[in-house]
Order: sequence, then C-alpha cells, then structure tokens
Amino acid sequence: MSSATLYGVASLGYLIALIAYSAHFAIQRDRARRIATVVAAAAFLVQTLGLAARWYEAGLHEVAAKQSAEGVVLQGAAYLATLGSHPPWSNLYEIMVFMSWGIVLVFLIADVKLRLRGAGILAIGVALLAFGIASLSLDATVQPLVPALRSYWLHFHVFSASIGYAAGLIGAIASLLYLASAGVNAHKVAFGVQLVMAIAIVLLGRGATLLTTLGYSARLLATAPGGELVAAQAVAPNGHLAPVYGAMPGVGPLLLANLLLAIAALVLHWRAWQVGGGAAQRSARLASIASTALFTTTIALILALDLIGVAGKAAAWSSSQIQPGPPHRFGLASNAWDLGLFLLVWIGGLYSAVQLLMPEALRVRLPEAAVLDRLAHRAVLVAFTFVGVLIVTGAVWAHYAWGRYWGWDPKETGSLVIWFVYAAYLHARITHGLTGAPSAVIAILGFFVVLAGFLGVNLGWFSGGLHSYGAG
Amino acid sequence: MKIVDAIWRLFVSLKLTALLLALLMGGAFVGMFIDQTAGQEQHLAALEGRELASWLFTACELYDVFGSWWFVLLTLSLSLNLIACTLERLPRLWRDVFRGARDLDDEHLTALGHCARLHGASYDRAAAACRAVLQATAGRVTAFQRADSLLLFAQRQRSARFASVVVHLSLLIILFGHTGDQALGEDGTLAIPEGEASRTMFQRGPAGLTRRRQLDFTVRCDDFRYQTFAGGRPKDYESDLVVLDGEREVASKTIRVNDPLDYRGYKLYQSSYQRIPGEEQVHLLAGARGSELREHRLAIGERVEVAPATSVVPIEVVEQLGDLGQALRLQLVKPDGSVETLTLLQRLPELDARMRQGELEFRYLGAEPRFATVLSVGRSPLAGLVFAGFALLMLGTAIALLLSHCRYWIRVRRLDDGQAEILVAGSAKRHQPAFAGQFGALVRRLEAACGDPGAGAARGDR
Repeated sequence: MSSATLYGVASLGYLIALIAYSAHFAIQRDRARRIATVVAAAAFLVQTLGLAARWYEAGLHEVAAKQSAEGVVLQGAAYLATLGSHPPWSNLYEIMVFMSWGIVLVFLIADVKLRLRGAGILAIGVALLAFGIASLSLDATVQPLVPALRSYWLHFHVFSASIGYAAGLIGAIASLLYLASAGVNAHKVAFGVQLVMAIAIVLLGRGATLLTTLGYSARLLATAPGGELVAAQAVAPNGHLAPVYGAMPGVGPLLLANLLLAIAALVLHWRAWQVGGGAAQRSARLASIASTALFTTTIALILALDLIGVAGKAAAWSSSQIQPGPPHRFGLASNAWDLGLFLLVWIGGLYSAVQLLMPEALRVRLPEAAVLDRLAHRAVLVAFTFVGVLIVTGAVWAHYAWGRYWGWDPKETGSLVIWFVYAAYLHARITHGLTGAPSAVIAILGFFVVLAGFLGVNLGWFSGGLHSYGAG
Repeated sequence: MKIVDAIWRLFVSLKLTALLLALLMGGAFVGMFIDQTAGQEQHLAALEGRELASWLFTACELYDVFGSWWFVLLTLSLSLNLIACTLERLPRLWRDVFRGARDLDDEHLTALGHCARLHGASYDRAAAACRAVLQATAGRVTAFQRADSLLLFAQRQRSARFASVVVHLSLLIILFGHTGDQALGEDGTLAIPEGEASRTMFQRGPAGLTRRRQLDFTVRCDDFRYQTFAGGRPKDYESDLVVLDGEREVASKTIRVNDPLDYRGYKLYQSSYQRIPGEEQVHLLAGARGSELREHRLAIGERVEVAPATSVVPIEVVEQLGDLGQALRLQLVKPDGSVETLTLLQRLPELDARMRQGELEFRYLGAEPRFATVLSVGRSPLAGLVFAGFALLMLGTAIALLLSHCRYWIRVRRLDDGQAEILVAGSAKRHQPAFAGQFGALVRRLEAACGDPGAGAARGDR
C-alpha cells in the first residue's frame, strides 16, 4: 500500500480515537477509553507502516535518479544503500507528519503508564491537527533529497526534534489539565485563555490589517482551467514577486468584535478573581463564553469561506499586475498555519468554557492533580534532554557540513531558546520548589515559545536562515 | 568586604539566573527577528529619517545581536552566575552525598518519604537477614551497632546527585571553547572560479561589513561539477581542490557537501557555487537564411565572422527574459560598420528567421556556464574542547533523566523477649513512583526473609 493510503487510514483512526476519548469524557465508561487507546495504538502502527512505506517510495525515487544519472543498474548493497538514503523527514510535510507520530508515541507511553483520562482529547487532537495541516497545506510529493541533508546526522537530529517537541507538548497539555484538576480558580485560567485569544486574533489577523482595515487577510489563490491550484503573486514595491492577500468578507468585523469581547472578558475575569462576588463571576463567565462562542462562529465562517472561496470568483482580482493571468479564476483561502493556530486557541477556549460552567464535573473527569504534575515534570525533563540532543547533533553536523558548529542561525537560536525555557522550568521546580500551578503556567507559556521557535523559523516569521529546506 | 559579599550574594542567587535566562531569550528573539546577515549600513538605510531608532540600533549593535556588548555581557553574567552557584552548592552537596547523615534516629527515619515497620521472630536472624537483603538490593551496607539495636544504611546511584554539576560544567566548557573559537578561529568564504586559484577569503567583519583576508596558503579549483535532478534542484556538487603552499602542492581532495578537506586545522567545505556571469560558452548556429547553418562555440565578447565582412559578438546571456526563458543578446556588426543588437531565445530558435527576416539567420542553442565553487573556510581550534563539552552535557542530562540517588535505612531493635522490631525507611531524590515500587519490593523481601508473615503490621507507605 502507498504511504498516502496508510496515512489516510491512520488519520481516520486518530479521528475515531479522538471521538472515543471525547465519548469517554462525556459518559465516563471505561470501555470507551480502552477502545480509544486501542484504536489510537492501531492507528499509530499504521502510521509507522506509512513512514516505512514513504521511506521505501522515496528510496525508489533515489534509485531511479541514480540509475538514470550513472547509467547503471544498482544491485545488492549499493541498491539497498540508495534505497535507504532518503528518510521520510526531509521537508516540512514529512516533518509535520513525523511530529504527529512523536506526539502520539509520547502520549501512548504516558497513557499506558498513567491511565490519563481526558488527556487523550488534547493529545490526539493536536496530533490530528499537525497531520491535517501537513496533508492539507503542504507539498506531499516526494522531492529529491538536497545534498546538505545527505548525512547520518539527519536521523538523530530529526528524531530528537520529534520526541523533544512532542514531550514538550505533552508537558504543556498535562500542565493545562493540572490547572483544572487541582481546582485552580477557573477565572484565572479563563483570564489566560482570553488573553491568548486576543493575542492570537491580533497576530494571526495580521494585526495591522485587522485594526486599520477591519479585514482578515487570506491568501489569493488562482485556479487554472485544468483545476490546478497556485498562489497568486504580484510585484511588490521592492521589485520581487510576493503573495497577494485579500480581505475575506465578513470575517474582519467578527474578529474585531471578538477581540473587544475577549478583552472585556479578561478584564471581567481579572475582577472576578481579584474581587470575587457572584455578580462579577456571572458576568465574567457570560463574557468569556460569548467570546469563545463568537470565536467558534468565526472559525466556522473562515472554514466555510475557505471551502467555497477557491471555487468562487473574485473579479476584482483579475487585474493585470497579478500573476498568473486571466484564464485563472481567483479565490481566497486562509493560511492553513493561521487556521491551525486558531484551532489550538479554540481548543483552549472550549476547555476554559467547560471549566467555567462545571468545574467539579471537569475535575472528577481528569486524572489526579498529582499524577498530572508528575507527568508534566517528567515530560519536560524528556523534552529538555531531547532538545539538548537536537542542539548537540545539529552543532556537530553543522561543524562537518558548514564549517562551524554554532552560527546563531535563527533555527539554532530558536532551539536554544526552547532549551532555555525547559531549563527555566526545571530550575523553578527543583531549586525553587515551585511545583503545581506556578510550574504549570511556566510549561504552558513555554509551549508558545516552543511554537515560535519551531514553526516561526520554518514559516518565515523571522529572517531567513540555513534551514530554508524545511520551509513549506 | 561588604561589597564583595553583596556581589557574591547577587551571583549565587537563582533569581539572577531566571532574570538572565529571560533576558537572553528576549535577546535571542530580537536576533531572530532582525536579519543578522545584513550589515549595519543596510539596516540604517531602512531606518533613514528615524533618528531615535537609528541611534538605538547602533548603540545596541542590533545588526550583530549575538556579538553585541549587551548580549556578551549577559552571557558573561550567566557564566559567573553558574560558577558562583556551583561553588556555593558543591561543598554542601559533596558533604551530603559522601558524609551525609546516615546514622539517623527513629524520628528522622519516620519523617522520610517512605517508611515501614516489620516484626522479626528472632533479633539475630532478623539482623543477618536484613543485612543480606539490603546488600542484594543496594550494594555496600554500612552498619552502626548500638547496645540494643543495629542501624543499616545503603545507597544507590550516588552519581545522580552530580548530574546538574556535570551539566553546568559542560555549559561552561562549551561557552569557554566557543568564546575562544570566536577570538582565535576564523570563518569565511572563498569563491574560486574553475581552473583558477585564490587565497582571498571574505569574512564578516565589524558592523556586518565584508572584510578580506589573505590566507597563508592558496587553493586552486581544478574542476567543479554539479548535477541536478529533473526538477532543477541541485543533486550533488563537488570540486577538485589543490592546496598550494607557494608553488608546492601540499594537499588535494575532491570535496563535496558534507565531506570537507582538512588542511592545517582549516576545514574547506563545499558550501555553494556561483555561475560567473559573462563567462559562458555560447552555442550558436549562424548562416544565410534558409541555407545550411554553421555551428559556433563562443565566449562572451569573442568576435567571429559569420559572412564576408559581417561578424557577431555575444554580449550577454539573460537567464530569464520575462516569461520567455533564457536569451542571448548578440551584436551584429554589418559590412557598413553599423551595429544591430539581436535578442535570441533559446526556447524559440526559429523566431529570429521568422520575425526579423534578415539575410542572416541565427539560432541560439544554449550556453555552458562557467562556475565558481564557493567554499566555506573555517578554523575552530577549540572545537575539540567544545565537543568534549557536548559529550559531558549529554552525559549529565542522561544521568539526570535516568538515575536517582536512593538511600535506605533499616533499624533492627532487640525487644525484651529476644524478638526484633524492624523499621525500614527510604528516600529518593527523583522518580518517586518508581522508588515507591522498589521500596515496596524491598519491604516484601525483608518480610519474607525475617520469616514472620503474620506480624507485618502497621505498614504505612507515605
């Protein structure tokens, strides 16, 4: 079977596991949890087979390329060496698939050891999100392996990245659940969630555009008469071709209203937590849930517009400066990464809403606070170790490939910052004795730094660097 | 001495560590957002007219964040902080691990994380059995004999306590090595056209400006080869290099990506390549329109006669002419001395004959580019030290992840009737759930060995 088929089956399995985990959360039957774990484990095996299949498929490409280049038929050891020369972690699509694999692996280990009721929704949800972003928005074709990646260091390097970042994610999830399980004031949590939501809206709505033009910008895509999809480009003031963005109708005002509502909610939560009182708590709860509901509506609208947007016509865009020219039809589609991050924030919003409405019901459905606290610590320790391995293998490899072991390349700097975050967490815990809620907050905030360090560079939020082949 | 004391207190404080880590992270993000490959001038041009921003940019050396005075100051403070913390804590840690409290009274023992009480039918038998079981579990046993009781102590994985010391030491070694390499090492690029030799290395100097440096050896590139995949992405490239000391050939190697040449501490890496514009070999067909055309291979600027008193000179290869692909600009010098510039498209070779309708016809078949190999030249004399630091770092984190210092105490007390009361206690620095399991197993083994299953009362794992 092809890797694409296996990946499809695996993601379907994760979806079923996600539903089963949610069902277990709702009805509290242990059978649902067992089914979920078994399905997730089976899907994980299928994904592992998919990775192997992808390795083989990429290897066949390499063999064909080498045979046609050298005019020989490869046999024996040479054939096998070439077949194995292209591991399935050489571009951003493959990296994202591999990341989701790592997340499920780390989660399953923790789940088998600790019976993590409720955590499966978040872990499998995020893995599915990574998988989805990879298959929906990234180029999945097997591309030849560029010379710089032809090295054994690649294996250690990427494997430790996958495990390290996955463990960091599991640590953040355990920390988030800890807050509810330990009975931390729901208004504190909601304050944080609404703050993150407000920041996400400003950042991902491409701040300036949202605030000045009330528009949410999406990429302009062009559909060729044959159905092939390409990003539309236009000449920017600096003379280079740049992608064209357009405002998605209706989304901008919704997002702006959402921003105001989120700010109002976080002020009210602040008051409810500082001053207390029934009326303050009720109004904060109302604002927060309204904000999350509006966010849900907005995301649904963006998704709906994305689905019909490409097929629809946007005559206004058929101007001569935009390439490719007129036979193409234009439509808007949001950046899948923006959507992915919106969905992450949305998951946080739902979690906070459930905690606000029924804190007790949520608390009894989650693993014990002590278990979660320990899991978070352990996960961060694993993340710290593997990010350390990631940096060291990267440095040694860079020494042999580029002539220097450290050059403050954005990707190198990003991973160092991530390592610092975990170091700060461990120091706060071990030396300051900050366990429980304070360390949980550090782990959750740290996750955003991880996101910035890991994805920010690949997505070009920062200035370019030597890891450009990781870009999507 | 008050000031020295205050400074010492400042540097042993973990609050300072937290602050420094936060500031370093902030600085790193600044360095990621601002393009560090562009020089000062480029950045200042972009900030033109904004006095304050320009001043801040220059004062904080934001074109070179990671080499700026404040970033170096932060790194230096963090190293001092690390050294001070280690010096402050190491003696205490050492005492605790090697001469730590082993002879504890019952009050201390019951206050430890894990504790159980057992009963033995005979004091002598219980004492011997406990010793044997403890030795099998945790190795060497230290015994403290009292008038009516015996205290046994054993411990495992003491080295786990030094994991953080190892990690911090490794970080200091890495920082020291890297700083030394910055000062003593070199890093630059060397571009050598095929068939030529060069000793001029380009380095990034102060303010991000390019600086030239003459190496004390010369590198000649005899040949550069590169292959592309069908899609045009580079597949592999390699250069035949010869290192010359004066006229003498001292080293030679074919280098490729990930396989450098070593010469006297320098490493020459295949990092990239360039086409040299203006040095292509142009492949051209020329002749009277409709007749048999003659084939020419010309360098840019090389004149050739294509008809009596009529000559052509290729002047430029344009990689991409609009959407039309590669093109050649060709000067046609006619018998009357007038000059016409033609643009020939590689993708549409017949276009010239069809469109221009001249007496002569030209077909541009393509150009063989001349390459310059681009080497990255590095010398990191302290790389070995840094790599040793890396190894130590891996060792330290592995110890921290996997090992845990576990200590066990067993007090066997003789009761008046010759029976024994046994108090078992244990503590671990890490991995509490795993230790709870191990401790439970130890207690069960002791129970079995002391041979009085009925009386194993009052066990309380906490």
